[in-house]
Order: sequence, then C-alpha cells, then structure tokens
Amino acid sequence: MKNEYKNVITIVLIACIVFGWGLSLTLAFPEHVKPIMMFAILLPVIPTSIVLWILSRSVPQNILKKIHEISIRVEKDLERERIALDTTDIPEEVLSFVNVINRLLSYHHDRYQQERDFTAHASHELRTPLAGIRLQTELAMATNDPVKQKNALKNVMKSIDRSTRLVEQLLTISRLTNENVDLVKEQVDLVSLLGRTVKDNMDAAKKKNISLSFSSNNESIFVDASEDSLNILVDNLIRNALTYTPNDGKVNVNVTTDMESMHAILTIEDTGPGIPVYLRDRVMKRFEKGDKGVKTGTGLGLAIVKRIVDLHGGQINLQDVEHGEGLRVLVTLPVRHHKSRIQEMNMAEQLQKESFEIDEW
Amino acid sequence: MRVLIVEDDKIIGDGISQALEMEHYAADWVEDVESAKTALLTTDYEMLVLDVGLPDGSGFEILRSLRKKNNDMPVLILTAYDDISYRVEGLDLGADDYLIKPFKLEELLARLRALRRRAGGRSNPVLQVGDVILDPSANKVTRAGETIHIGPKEFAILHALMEKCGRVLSKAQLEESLYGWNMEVESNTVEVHIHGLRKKLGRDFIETLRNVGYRVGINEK
Repeated sequence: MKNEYKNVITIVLIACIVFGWGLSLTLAFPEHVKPIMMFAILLPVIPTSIVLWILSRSVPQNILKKIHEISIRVEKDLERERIALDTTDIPEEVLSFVNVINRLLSYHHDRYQQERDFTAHASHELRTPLAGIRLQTELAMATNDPVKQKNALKNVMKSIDRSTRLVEQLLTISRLTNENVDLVKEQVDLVSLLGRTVKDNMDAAKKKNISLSFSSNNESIFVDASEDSLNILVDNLIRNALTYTPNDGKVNVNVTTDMESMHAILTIEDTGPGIPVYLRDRVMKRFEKGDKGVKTGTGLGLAIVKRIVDLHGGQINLQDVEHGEGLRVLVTLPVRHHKSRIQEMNMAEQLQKESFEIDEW
Repeated sequence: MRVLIVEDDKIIGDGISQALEMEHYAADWVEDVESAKTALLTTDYEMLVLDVGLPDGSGFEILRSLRKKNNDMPVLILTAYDDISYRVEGLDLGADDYLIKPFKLEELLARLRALRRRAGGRSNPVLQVGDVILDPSANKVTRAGETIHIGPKEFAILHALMEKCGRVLSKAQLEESLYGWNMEVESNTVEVHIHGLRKKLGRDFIETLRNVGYRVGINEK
C-alpha cells in the first residue's frame, strides 16, 4: 500500500520536472511559435493528470476493497466461532483497528465464559437440593414406617432450606454484580448494626454451643453505606464463622476505628480450621469453596461480601488468628466524612434511580 | 448385588442407599474420591453409582483409574451437571450410563437393572431357570406359573445364583453381595436362606458343592 503513495509522488515530481523543463524551453522560442509549443508541452501533462486522478481514486478504493475482503473473512470467522480475527495479510493501515477489535472480542469472550461457568455452577447447585427433595419424598411415600417417614421429611426440610438460601444468595449477587448498581447510601451506625446481627445469630451459635460475642470501644461508628448491603455483609461473615467453627468453639466480633486513615475496622475471629494462604483469593470468587472436605455453604457468601466491600470503597483481608487455629476476617470501611451539598444532591438522584431499580426487581 | 455409591451430598447419598436396600441391593456409600478408591480396592463391587463433583476431586478420576485397571463393572454417572460435554466425556471415559439430577427414583432403579442385565450378557429382563422365573423389576418369583413369596435376603441370593446360572458361587461371595458395611452379618445366614429357598423351590433346585459353594441350573440343562 505504501508503494502506491510512492508512485504518486514520483509521478507528480516527474510531471513537474517535465512541465518546468518545457516551460523554460518555450521561453527561447520565437513569439509566434510560443502558443503552439505551450500546447505541445501541456500535452503530456493531460495524461499525467488523468493517471494521477485515477490513482487518487484508486488508493482509498483499494483500502475499501481490502476492508470488504476482511469483513467477509470476519463473517466466516464468526461462523466458526473464532474469538480472534485472522491478522495475516491485513494491510498496516487497518491492522491496529483489527487488533483493537480482537482485544474487544477476547474481553467479551472471557466475560461470556465467566457467565457460562456461573450459570453451569448455579444450575448444578440448584439441582442438587432438588434431587434430594425428590428422592426423600419418594422414599417417604414408599414406606409405611413413621420413623423413616419423619427422617425423610427432615431431609426434605434441610434441602428446602438449602435451596432457599441459595436462591437468596443468587439474587443478592446478581443484584450486586449488575454494573449499574447504585446503592442508596445513608448514615449507618456499625456498632448497632453489628449488635443486631450478632443477636440474630445467637440461636444458631447456641445450637453448636459456640460462644458468640461482640465488643467495641466506640459507642457508635458511622459509615456512609447501604444498610441492607452491610447487613448482608455482616450476616454472611458471622454465618460463615459459625458454620466452619466446630462445636464448643468461639466467634468474636469486634469493631473499632482508625482515625488516622478514617476507617472503621471490623474483625471476625473464629476457632475453625481457617483458610490456607493459597486459597484466600480463590474463596472470594463465585462458587469457589474452601479446601477439600468442606462443602457446606452455597459458595457465594464471600463473593457477595467482597463485592459489597468493593462497592463501599473498603478492603477485606483473610488472616490467621494470633493464637491457635482459626480465621480472622478483617474488613475496613471508610468512616463518614463531612458531606458536601453536591454529594447530598447526588444522593437524592441516586435515591430516585434506586427506587426505579427496585421496581424492576 | 453389592453396589458402591459415591455421592458427596448427604441427603442424596442417604436416599440412594435406602432405596437400593429396599430393592435388595447391598449398598455402601462413600463421600469422596479417596474413600471410593479405598472401597474399590478392598471390596468386590458389582456396580458403581458415581457423582462427578466431589470435594477432593472428580468422579471421572475414579472412573479413569477403574478402566485403566481393566475393571469392567457397570458404572452409572449421577450428576447435576447437564452440559453435553460432561456427558460425552463421562461416557467416553467408560461410563455405561448417565443420569441427571434431579432424577426419578424408578428411573434410576430401572437403569441399574438394565446395567446389571447387560453386565450379565442378557437382554431378557426376567431370569428363568427350569420352571422358576425371577422378575427383578417386579421383585417377583414364580414357580410353574405360581407366585412364591420369599424374603428380601432370599430374593437377593436367588437373584445372584440365577444370574450366574450354572456357575458356582461361594458362601463368601454370596455374603459379600448380601451385606453392606453397616449391616450386621449373622453367621450361618447364607445356609439358613438356602434352606428356606429349597423349601419353597424344591430340594434339588439349588445344588450344594461341599466346601465350594452353591449353584443353580445344572439339573435343568
């Protein structure tokens, strides 16, 4: 393609030289011959211009033709479900464009793959308790033994609880992973929110004889947050701690502030098996559960927690506890700053948007 | 018939075990790859019901190692993954059948009966030796057209003997196919049941080979 430009430039140069040379010659001729000579000299200029005109049209047309060829190839590529366009033989001028398209395709392919995996996991997780319900119901119907029937019904109950929890978690995560998620943030007192959630989980703790405690040196710690989301966050973390802590263990919840960095620091420590370092990033992803042998949760809890923390500009860390076995979950959230008038106006807008979104749900 | 169930979901595992016991199978249930491999090494199973997603690995791993050792026991994969690629992979690794959760119990039981039939090289769903007919799907035994009432253990022994018609089964083999791990094995029980069966089917139907075992089908041939 570059060569064609070179040709054009060469032709223009040659034409100029010929024209200049002819002009200088005509000056030497007698007066009456001059017009004829001028015309004679102009003669080669005319075909040159025509050639130039054709070339000037043909250059972009060549590119257009190439693009057309590429688009035919792209179509074939798409039919074969290729995720990248073939870059061989692509003219330089178009190559960068094709590369950008390839990056875009690969981004969307990854996203698509993630969604596919998510759907496959979700359907697997939904089918399993359903299979349990169906099977245990059939067994209850096949027997007249009241003990067996009661046992089957208990199992049906367990499976129903499991699927209910799963559906709730699925709805939560799909609401939170929506790219346009707009949380209604308000002043939330972490101390009283934690106190309530701890209280709500007391029964579950008692069933396993786990001592569940909550402490804070502050009377109240205000954060700009969505109260619903924070409830989900805290509830998930406490439930996790209770699930993985063996009977007669301990779960301690604490919240404090670091005024230097203007953060609230929330810690939940348990006496469970902990999470090995190499798994700590993985368990934050959707449907990734802990080490082998552990299969109790929905696999969504920590992914939800991570998303809520991100949406609030906070951070989450999984650590070892200082003494003995256990896991410490450390969540930091920015504490409430002085709110400007503009922010407050934004909040009012967000509020409207959010109520609209809730309608959709 | 001794069956191994590999299933990590407690409610499903418990359900299948119960259902198979109701159908006179001796069923053992394990929850992970490791225990499944140990169980397969130590016990002679005749059939495997296999889940794919297990806490310490994939059920396909178990299947692969089984077929590598040229063990050709029937394997039914039971999983909640419905993706075609999974099914194809499972079947190509040597599974004999594939069932998606949730499933109907009667379908699972029918598929297991079909697998058992095929493993014995038969296509006829009922077993016949002389004038005795055993119908596994109806749990029914008839002799000369007349229904004979026999107990579940007797049924299991008769089924095993008629399946291997003409071949000798030792007392230990019969015991193994009668009792899962969590069942108490009473001594003399095989003898007791054989005695019961003879009473109902005639003295000569089951032949005793002293210190070797039992067989059916020689007298009729």
